[in-house]
Amino acid sequence: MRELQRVIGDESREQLLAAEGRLPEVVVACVGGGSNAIGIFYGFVDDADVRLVGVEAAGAASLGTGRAAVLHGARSSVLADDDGQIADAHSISAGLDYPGVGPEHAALRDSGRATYVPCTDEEALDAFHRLAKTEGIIPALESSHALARALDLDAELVLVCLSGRGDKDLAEVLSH
Amino acid sequence: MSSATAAKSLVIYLVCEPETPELAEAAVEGGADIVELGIPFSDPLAEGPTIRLASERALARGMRTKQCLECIAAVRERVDVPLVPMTYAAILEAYGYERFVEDSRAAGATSAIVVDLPVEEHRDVARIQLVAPTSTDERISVCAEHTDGWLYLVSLTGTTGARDEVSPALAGLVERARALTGVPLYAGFGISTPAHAASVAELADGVVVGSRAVQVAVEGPDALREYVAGLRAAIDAAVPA
Ligand SMILES: Cc1ncc(COP(=O)(O)O)c(C=O)c1O
Repeated sequence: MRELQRVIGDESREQLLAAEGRLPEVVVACVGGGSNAIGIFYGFVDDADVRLVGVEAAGAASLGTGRAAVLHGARSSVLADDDGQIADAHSISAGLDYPGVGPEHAALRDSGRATYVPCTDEEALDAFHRLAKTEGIIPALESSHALARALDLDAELVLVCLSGRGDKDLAEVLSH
Repeated sequence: MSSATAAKSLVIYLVCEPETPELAEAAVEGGADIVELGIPFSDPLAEGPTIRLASERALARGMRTKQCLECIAAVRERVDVPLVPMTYAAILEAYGYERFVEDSRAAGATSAIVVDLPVEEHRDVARIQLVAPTSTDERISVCAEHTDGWLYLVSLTGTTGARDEVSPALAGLVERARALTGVPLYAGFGISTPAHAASVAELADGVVVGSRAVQVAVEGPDALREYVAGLRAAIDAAVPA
């Protein structure tokens, strides 16, 4: 899965080097199960100066607030209680509404190579509207979480993974 | 090994709930040789709808790991047959693998089944390994080598739950496993009627019945005793000990 998804990282690295002649300072991606993030991170994981930031839904922060547990065949950081029973996740975006995460993200967190931060539903909605208004791009609600945290960064060149289009999310967004 | 002449084992699965001690006793009276006691998990990936619902119900009634171990101890006071806790790795991960082994033994359990714990992990937890029609010969050999007592043949590619027919994949799996190992082979998943039990007993060394037993158990101990006795009679008629 990582090897399939890393085409995102490999191609964006190549394109950014061609366009800007340098690497980004920060790479930001949303994290649900972790596939788009691991894909884009893998283009840059060996570039020690590039910060890797994963953004989780605040109500589904498996890496931020989870614990070691086993879900769907993987031991990773999972939203679970003291008995190991899996807890419910909550997010406005279906793609982030998942109590587990690919175990390699837990390893990147533990080694310090990547950091993982939360984003609330409201912050994601604001970022969704902002990109739509300023660039005419409708991002997926999942990707809007990454955008929201990218906007906070004090950096000049930031690479954000727009993991999907927001057409699918219009009904959800317009209901808020 | 002469599978055709040894008595065939009947294994009945129940979820740990407050009524389970009485139900397990009824299952043994009906002719169960082993009782599997499910410790419910919120995300039981091997289970079909019946056991999923029963697990949810048990959790809603407070059947957490500690209460389930107490339940096993209460079953142990009523019956002498082996009691095998069946659960998922997340439960042991949270409780502590070694602590689980100690406390379940103290409660009277024998071995364990941890559905999603691969054979390579936590070899210190003696347990019954599972193989499926999709398992390679190499995998079956490794699981047989490390299994504790018998090898659990998952008769189909799917989840637990009563089916109309015994899986056509079972005969081939038994044949492959027999060529690879001498350990007893017990088959489960999708076996629900006396006719199923009889035809599985002609292939394997033991028959595991879960979902239908869980359904019948809702009707109480008498219904379960009668149901298990029907399975027992069919098995013994098909393959006299
Ligand atoms: C557009 C989009 N982005 C991100 C995700 C989150 O998944 P992952 O973290 O595996 O990339 C999903 C999941 O459905 C999605 O639809």
